[in-house]
Amino acid sequence: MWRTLLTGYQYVLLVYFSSLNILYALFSCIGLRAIVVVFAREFSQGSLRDLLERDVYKPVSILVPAHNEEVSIVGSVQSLLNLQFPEFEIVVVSDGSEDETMERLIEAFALAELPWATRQDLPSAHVRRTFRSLTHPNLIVVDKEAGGKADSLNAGLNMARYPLFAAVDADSLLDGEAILRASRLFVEDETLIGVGGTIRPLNAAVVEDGRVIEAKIPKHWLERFQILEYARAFFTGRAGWSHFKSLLIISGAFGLFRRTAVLEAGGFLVGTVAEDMELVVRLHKHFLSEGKPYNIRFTPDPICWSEVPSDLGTLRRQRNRWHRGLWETLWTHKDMLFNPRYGRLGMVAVPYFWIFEALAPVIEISGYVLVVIGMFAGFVSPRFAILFVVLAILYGMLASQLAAGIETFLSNRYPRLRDRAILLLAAFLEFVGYRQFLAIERTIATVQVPFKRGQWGKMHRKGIRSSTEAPSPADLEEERTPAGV
Amino acid sequence: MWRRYGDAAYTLMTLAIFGFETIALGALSLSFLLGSASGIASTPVEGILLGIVISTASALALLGLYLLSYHFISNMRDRWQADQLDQWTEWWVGLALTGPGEPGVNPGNRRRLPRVAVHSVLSLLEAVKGEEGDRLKEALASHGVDSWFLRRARSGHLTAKLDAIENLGKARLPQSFDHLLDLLHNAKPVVRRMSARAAGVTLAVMPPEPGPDSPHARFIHAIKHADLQPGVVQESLLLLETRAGPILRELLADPDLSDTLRWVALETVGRLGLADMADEAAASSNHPDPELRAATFRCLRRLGSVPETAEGPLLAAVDDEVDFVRVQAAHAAGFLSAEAALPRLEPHLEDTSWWVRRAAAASLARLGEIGVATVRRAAESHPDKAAREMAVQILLEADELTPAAARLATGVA
Repeated sequence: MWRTLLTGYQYVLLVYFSSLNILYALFSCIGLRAIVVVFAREFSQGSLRDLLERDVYKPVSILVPAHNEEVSIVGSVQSLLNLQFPEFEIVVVSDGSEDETMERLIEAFALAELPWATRQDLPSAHVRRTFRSLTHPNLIVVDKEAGGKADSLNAGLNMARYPLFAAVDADSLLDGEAILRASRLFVEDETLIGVGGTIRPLNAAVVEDGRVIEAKIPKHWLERFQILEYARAFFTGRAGWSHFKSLLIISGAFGLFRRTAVLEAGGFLVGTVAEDMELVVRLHKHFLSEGKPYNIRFTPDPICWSEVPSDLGTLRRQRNRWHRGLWETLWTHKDMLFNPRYGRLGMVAVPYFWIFEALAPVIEISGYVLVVIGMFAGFVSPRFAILFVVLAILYGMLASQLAAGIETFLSNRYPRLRDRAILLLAAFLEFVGYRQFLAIERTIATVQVPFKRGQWGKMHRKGIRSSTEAPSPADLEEERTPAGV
Repeated sequence: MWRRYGDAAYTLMTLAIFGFETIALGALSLSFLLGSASGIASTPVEGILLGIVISTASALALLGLYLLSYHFISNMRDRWQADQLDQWTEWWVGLALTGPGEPGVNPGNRRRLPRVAVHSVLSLLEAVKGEEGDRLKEALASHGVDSWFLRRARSGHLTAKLDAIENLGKARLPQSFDHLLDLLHNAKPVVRRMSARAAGVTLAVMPPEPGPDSPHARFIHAIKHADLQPGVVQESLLLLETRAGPILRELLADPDLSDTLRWVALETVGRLGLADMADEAAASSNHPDPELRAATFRCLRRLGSVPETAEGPLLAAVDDEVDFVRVQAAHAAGFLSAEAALPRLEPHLEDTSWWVRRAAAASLARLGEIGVATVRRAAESHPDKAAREMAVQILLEADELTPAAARLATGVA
C-alpha cells in the first residue's frame, strides 16, 4: 500500500514539475515580448523628455518608511532628492527608530520641527514630531511611535499631498527616471491604480551622488544567486502575470499607486509582514467586488536598486519573513481561492500562488525525501533518480538564463563578458545547496506562520555608499555584527 | 534604456525552447503514465528521460552561447556605433548649416544610409527646427528613408512597426501624417498610442492650412473616432505646442463633443496656459457632470484668470456639494477680487475636507494683504483647531510665518 501511495505521489510530483516548468517558460516568452518588444520601444529618452517638457505627468509623494536605518537613510534620501521629476515630495517616516536615524536626517538635511496640518485618512501610531527641511522644501520627515512598516506607510499617506504615491524602501536607490517612467502610465490610463517596477540587486554597484552609474557582479556567490532570483521574479514572472492582468505582487521596495484607490481600499494592513502583497490582493478584491474598472501592472522600465542580504543569517530571516508573508496574505484572502467571482484571479492566479509558491518548498523537500526513500525501497533506480535530478537542475538553469538573458538587452547591464559567464555558472551552482537551503527555510516558515504572525526579525545591512566614499566606523561595526542577531 | 537588436532572434529562441519544453514534459508525463504498469523506472521511460536531459542540456548550451556571443558582439557594436555616431552627427550638422553638396560625400560614401546615420539625424531632428531641420528632412527623403519608415510602419511585424512609428515621430515628416492617423485605428493599443504621439509632433511642425480637409481637421476627426485613452489624447494635444490652440478651440466649441474629450480639452488648455481661451473653457463651469466642472475650475486656476462670465458659477461652486469641485473652485477663486472671493472662502477654512481647507487657505493668502490678514487671524484665533493648523501651514509655505512663530502659534515645544 505504501508503495502504491508513494508511486501515486511521484505522479503528482511529476505533473507539478511539468506544470511549473511550462508556466515558467510561458512567462519567459510573455515577459520577453512585453519587455523587449513593447516597453523598450514605446518610450525613448526623447519621447519622455517631450512629455516632461509639456507637463504630462502627475505629481508624486514618495513615502520612505524607516526603522533603524541610520546606515542607509541619508544616502537613500539624497538619491531620491536627485530624481529627474518636476513635482514630488518625499515623506520619510521614522517608525520608532532607536538608532541615530533621526539625528542623521536632521543633520544632513537641516530639518526644522514644524507643526503640520495632517489628515487622518488612516489610523496610525502617534506622530511625535514633524519636520521640514530648510534646504529641500519638498522633504518632510515624520517621527512616530513604532507601529511597523504598514503603519508608517499609513502615516505617510496621511501626510501625502499628491495624487500618486510611491512606497520606497529606505535601503533602495531609484534610477533617475524611475518615477517619470512609472507615473506617465497613470496619465495614459485613468483606470490604473498600481504599478510595480523592476528591482535589481544593489550590492557591488558603483554609486555616485545617490545614482547607480555601473552595475557590477558582487563577489559573494550568495549575492550572485540573488541576481538570478530577481531576474526570474521580475523579468519573467511579474511581466507574465501583468500581461494576464493578474499581478498579485508589487514589491515593497518600489511601487507607485493612486492614493485615492489605496485609501478607498483601507490603506496598508497593519500586523502583516507582507503589506505590499496584501495591499495589491486587497485592491484587486475591492475593485472586483465593487465592479469598478481598474488595472494593476508591472513595467520593467522604472528600475529600483535594492540591497540584498549578503550573509546567510539575514537571507534566512528575509526569506522566512517573505514566505510567512505570502501565507498570511493567502490565508487572509482565502475566500478568493477558486472563487469564480474574482475571475482569472480567483481561478488561476491565487491558486497558482497557493500551489506553486506557498506549497512549493514543502513539495520540493518531500520530493528529495521521496527520491531517497524510493532508492532505498528499490522502486526508483539510482540511474533514474540521477537523471530526474539532472533534468530538474537543467530546467532551473534554463529558467534563470531566459530571465537573465533579458538583462543583456538593458543598456545598464552587467558590463563584462566575464559577468555573463559568472551568471551562467551561478545558474548551475545555485542548485548545489542554495536552493535546498532556501526550501528548508521556507518549509520552516510554513510551519511558523501561526506562531510568528507580523514578526519581522532584524536585518543586517551594509548601507548605500558612494564609490569614492570610505566606510564609516558605524558601517564597519555593522558589518562585524554576527549573523543571527 | 534597452538594446533593440538581437531581440527578435532571442524571442524566437525562447519560443522554440518553450515549445520544446512543453512537448518534452508532455511526453515524459505520458510515458510515466503508460509505463506505470511496468514500474516508474522502466527502461523505456528512462530512455525518454535521458533523451529529454540531453536535448535540454543542448538547449541550455545554445542559449548560453547566444547570450555570451550577444554580450561580446553588442559590446563591440556599442563602441563602434559611438565612433560612427560622432562622424555622422558632424556630417549632418554640416549639411543642416550649409546646405546640400557642401560637406561632400557622407562618411559611409553610399546612397543607402546605415542605421547609425539615421539614428544620428533623428536625434538631431529632435533639436533642430526651421530651415535647418527642413534640409535634414529633405536629405532623409532623398535617401528614401521616409518611404522605408512608412513601409515598416505598415509591416505586420510589431517590432518593425513600433520602431518605424517612433522614428516617424522623431523625423516629423509631413508626408507621414496621414499614415500615422490611419494607425490610430490599429488593433494594438501600443501602436495607437505611439501613432497618436507621433501624429501630434508631426502636425506641430506642419504649416497651417484652411479648409474642412486640412490636416488639423483630419487630426480632430481621427482623435474623436479612435479608441484612445483620454491621457493619450491629452499627450498628443500637448505635443501640438503652438498648433494646439485652434484645435482645442474647435473641440470646445463642438456641442456634440463627448464628455471625455471635453475633459481632455479643458485639461490641455490649462496645461498649455492658453489664457486667450479662458472664455471657451469657462463655458463648462455649469456643466452637470462634476468632473467637468472641476476640470473647468482647474483649467481657470492654471490659466490664472477667471472671465467675468464664470465668476458667478465659480463662487457658487465654492459651496458645491461635491468636495473635489469645491477644491478646484476654491483654488480658482484665488484669482477673483478679494471683495468677491473672501466672504466665500473664509467659511471653508473649517470645511469638512482637508483638501478644501487647504485650497481655501492658499487662495485667501493669494488675495493680497486682506487675504493674508484673514489667514493670520485664523492661525491665531480660529475656534476650529483644523482651520488654525491649516492657516499656520499655509503661512509657513508662503513665508509669511517663521518656523519659531509657527511653533509658538500651535504650541509645539
